[in-house]
Amino acid sequence: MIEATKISKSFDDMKAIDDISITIKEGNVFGLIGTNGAGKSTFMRMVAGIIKPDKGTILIDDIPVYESEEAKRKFFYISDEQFFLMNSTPNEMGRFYKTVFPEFDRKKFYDFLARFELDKDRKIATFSKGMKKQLSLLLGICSGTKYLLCDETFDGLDPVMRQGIKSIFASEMEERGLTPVIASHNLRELEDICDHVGLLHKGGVLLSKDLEEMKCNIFKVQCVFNDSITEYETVTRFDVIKNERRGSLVTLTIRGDKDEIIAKIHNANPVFSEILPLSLEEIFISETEVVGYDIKKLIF
Amino acid sequence: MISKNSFFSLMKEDMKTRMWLVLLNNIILFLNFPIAIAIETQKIVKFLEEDPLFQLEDAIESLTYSIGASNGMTLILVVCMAFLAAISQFGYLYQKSQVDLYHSLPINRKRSFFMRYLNGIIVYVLPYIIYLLIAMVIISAAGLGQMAIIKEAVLGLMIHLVGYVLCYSTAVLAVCMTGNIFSGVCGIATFSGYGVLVTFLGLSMTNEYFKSYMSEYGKVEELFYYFSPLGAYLKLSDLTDKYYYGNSVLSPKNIVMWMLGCIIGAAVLSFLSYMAYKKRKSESTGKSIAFSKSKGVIKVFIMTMIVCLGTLIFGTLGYGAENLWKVIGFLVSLVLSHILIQIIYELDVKAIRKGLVSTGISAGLGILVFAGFYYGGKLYDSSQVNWEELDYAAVGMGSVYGGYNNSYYDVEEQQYMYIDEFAFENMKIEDKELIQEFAKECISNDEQKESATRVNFKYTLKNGKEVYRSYVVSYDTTRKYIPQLMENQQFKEGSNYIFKLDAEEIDYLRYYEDWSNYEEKKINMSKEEIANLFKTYKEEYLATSFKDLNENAPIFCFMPCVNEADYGENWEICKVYVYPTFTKTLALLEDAGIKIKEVKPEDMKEISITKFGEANMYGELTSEVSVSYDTSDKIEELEKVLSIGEFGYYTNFDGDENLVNQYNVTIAIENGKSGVEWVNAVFIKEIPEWLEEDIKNAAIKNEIEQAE
Repeated sequence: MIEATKISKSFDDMKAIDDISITIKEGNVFGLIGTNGAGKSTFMRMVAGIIKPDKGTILIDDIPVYESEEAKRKFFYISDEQFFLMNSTPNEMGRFYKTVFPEFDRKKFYDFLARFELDKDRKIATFSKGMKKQLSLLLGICSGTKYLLCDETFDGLDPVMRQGIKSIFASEMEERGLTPVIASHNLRELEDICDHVGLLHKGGVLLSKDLEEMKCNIFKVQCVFNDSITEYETVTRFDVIKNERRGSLVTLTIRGDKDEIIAKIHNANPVFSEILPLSLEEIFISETEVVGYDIKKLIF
Repeated sequence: MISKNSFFSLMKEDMKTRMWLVLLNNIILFLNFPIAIAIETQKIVKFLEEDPLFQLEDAIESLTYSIGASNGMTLILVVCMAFLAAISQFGYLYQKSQVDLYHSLPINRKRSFFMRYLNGIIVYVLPYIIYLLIAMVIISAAGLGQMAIIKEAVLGLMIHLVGYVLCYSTAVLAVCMTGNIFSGVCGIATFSGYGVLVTFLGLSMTNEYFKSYMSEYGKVEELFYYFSPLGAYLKLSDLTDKYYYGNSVLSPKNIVMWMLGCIIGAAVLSFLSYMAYKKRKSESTGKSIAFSKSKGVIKVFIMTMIVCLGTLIFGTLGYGAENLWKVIGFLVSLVLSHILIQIIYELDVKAIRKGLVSTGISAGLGILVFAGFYYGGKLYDSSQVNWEELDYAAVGMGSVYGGYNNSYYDVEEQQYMYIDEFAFENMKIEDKELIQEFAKECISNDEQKESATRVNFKYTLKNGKEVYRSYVVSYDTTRKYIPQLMENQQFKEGSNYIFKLDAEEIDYLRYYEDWSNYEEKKINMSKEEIANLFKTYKEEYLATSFKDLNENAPIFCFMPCVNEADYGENWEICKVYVYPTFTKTLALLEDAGIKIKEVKPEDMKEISITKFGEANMYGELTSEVSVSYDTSDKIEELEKVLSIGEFGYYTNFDGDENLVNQYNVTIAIENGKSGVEWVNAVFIKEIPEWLEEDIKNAAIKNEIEQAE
């Protein structure tokens, strides 16, 4: 478990992270969302032990991470600006990481390289941006660490590659309990990967929740009522987060138990009713609007 | 924890990423050792075969220089390699992506530092040893393998290694303290060159404000060796240089002490580098200075130096209004250095509004430095030694009696030295009252600039401490004290080089038979006869009164010489002037077949006097007026104030230099063989009033003629 408790970090006079606490549980894919300048990279760099928080503690499996070789052996960090050794090839990078991470699985690495059609003897400098990101992810996965910290690594990966990485994540999580932590400014990039999402804004955490939990509690219902009195009586029975009307079609975003919501709608005997799936984006909009933020301005 | 094997694997991996440096160092050292030595060895072998004067000792000397510690080219290359290695090993700190990679790896800062630091040394030392060995094989294969060369090569390896580590550690510290490559290079230059500036400033300020300070006997220039790693390395290298210091100073103790000092210095710098590396925040990448708190301190150090130097430079440029230009220089250098440093610090022109406190402190310190030197100089110039503690003293007045014998060839040091240096080495005047009185008068009239000369004092105290002072003194003062000094036997012994000469070391004597064409001839004397001549001369010189020495020009001069096999030339050690009163010496010379000419008044046919005008700013004489006399009454009168003969200039110990330099006097003498011969003379006393009048009239006449 990665535990950041009341951490703050300032650069000169600018506060980058202000008193935040985040817990990243094992066995999940943790997504860290935030706009540019929200403090995602600073948080990730602190978790990676690159920079030291001014206040607070960061523990990786109960070990303070800064300057700890033991804690640092538990994760592999992929920076938003990946660096590869001068004139190196994937093969040479694999050799380098093998000396740093003894658990580095070179066989698996070569298999992955073949699967993703990356030439192990080609100079990395000649790779495209996307290929470099793939390579970084493969190096990270093969390093055998418990955590994989990815800063903006998924942004820009094509859907096929994302799917490939996602399936590797799934198998690695199952096989050895890998916990990927992915920071991104784009919510849509993480939608199909993350289990748990933390939202950073202006150095603070707006929310941190399990996606399933959020999905199970929020529903979108479209219906047409017989009359306005029935509509009013029905709507007031729900915990409505959002109420939109287009002609006689009412779209409600409701928090609550799915069966209970269906039952109440049926009782009102509407002309038409339908429960629609919510995208992660919609869930976030709804959740953050509740706490007074217009998330569209923050993320999209 | 990472095991030892992993640590070395990491070092290996790290080295792989720096193959360009490995390659560069190999090329440099390959050219500097095997190739350069092969070329030199081939030349030496040829010289040995073809040139009979070129001996095996010469070959060894040449090769030991090339392969040893004092080779200047190796020194320059080592410094460059050290700086490059530091930037290569620690330059990753300037790039965020690299910092992210390396600082997220499970290698703590301590391990990371030592891995990089050691690799930076290995990358130099391994190729050095390999190519040195190859060079030694080349030398041995040419049949020149000698223990002396091996010793020098090992010493060179050690000294250059120490120098490399010293420069490398300095550069590593600079890199760890800065956040981008520009600041890093500036940092390396500052750390390496600050000592040079301190020394330059110290010397300039001392010369400006400590008027009686003798820089050649001072310690200020040695600041460079202590305040700059380059200086310390240079000193260490020079200590092994026979050509630079001479055999007498080549002391193993000196070398070991300096080497120890350099090792301690390198250790301190390495520790500071490690601390800077450990404490440095990763987020400082891209900034100018990694430690924001050190910004102000560094700025104050640099600015104070620039302000002081700027003030001095402007003061030197502003001829006639030095103080005004010093103030302008102070303000200009303060503003410019503030702007420059702030822009470098923040990479933003708007930053010039910041950092005013440190600029204020720098200005204050600059004023304090100047005030310190100004008042310190006043105190120093007026201070005297504790006369109770004085053991003996030496007075150097080479510029007063300089023409007499102002330099000599030091056989041990193999170079010409000024007579003041000889005086400081050998003169031991114990007459404290005389010295005290003379010194006090020198202090009181040190401000005089015109018609003045320089008098140097060396005081040796009873505790062995040596104190040096130099004063600008009027000729009136020197005229007053020279007669007293010349009656002092210790002064005489310490101001004439013949008292140090060992006749055994002298190969032969020579003299100028004909001064008009400087034709030299050897004096036919055995070693015993030379020793006897020296002994007799010394006795007569010491026995002769100042009055006799002063009023009678020397009538003969001989030069003791040595054969210097190393150079294939003969070296004249000094000139020894013989006075007419030295009858025994003259007799010995006559016994050796020398005929000595003496000019008598009755032989003089005409005296011609030319007076030169003042020199203009280009050093050209503005006018010259000539008069001549052939009547016996005028000749007799002039003869009384002239010192006649080729050595006339070398008398007049208490004379006025201006009097000698202003007039050119030639005398026509009846010569039995070829008619008339011209002989030079100088005024040794005030010129007669009628002569001054005649010169004035001649000048007026010249002007009228020119106007017509």
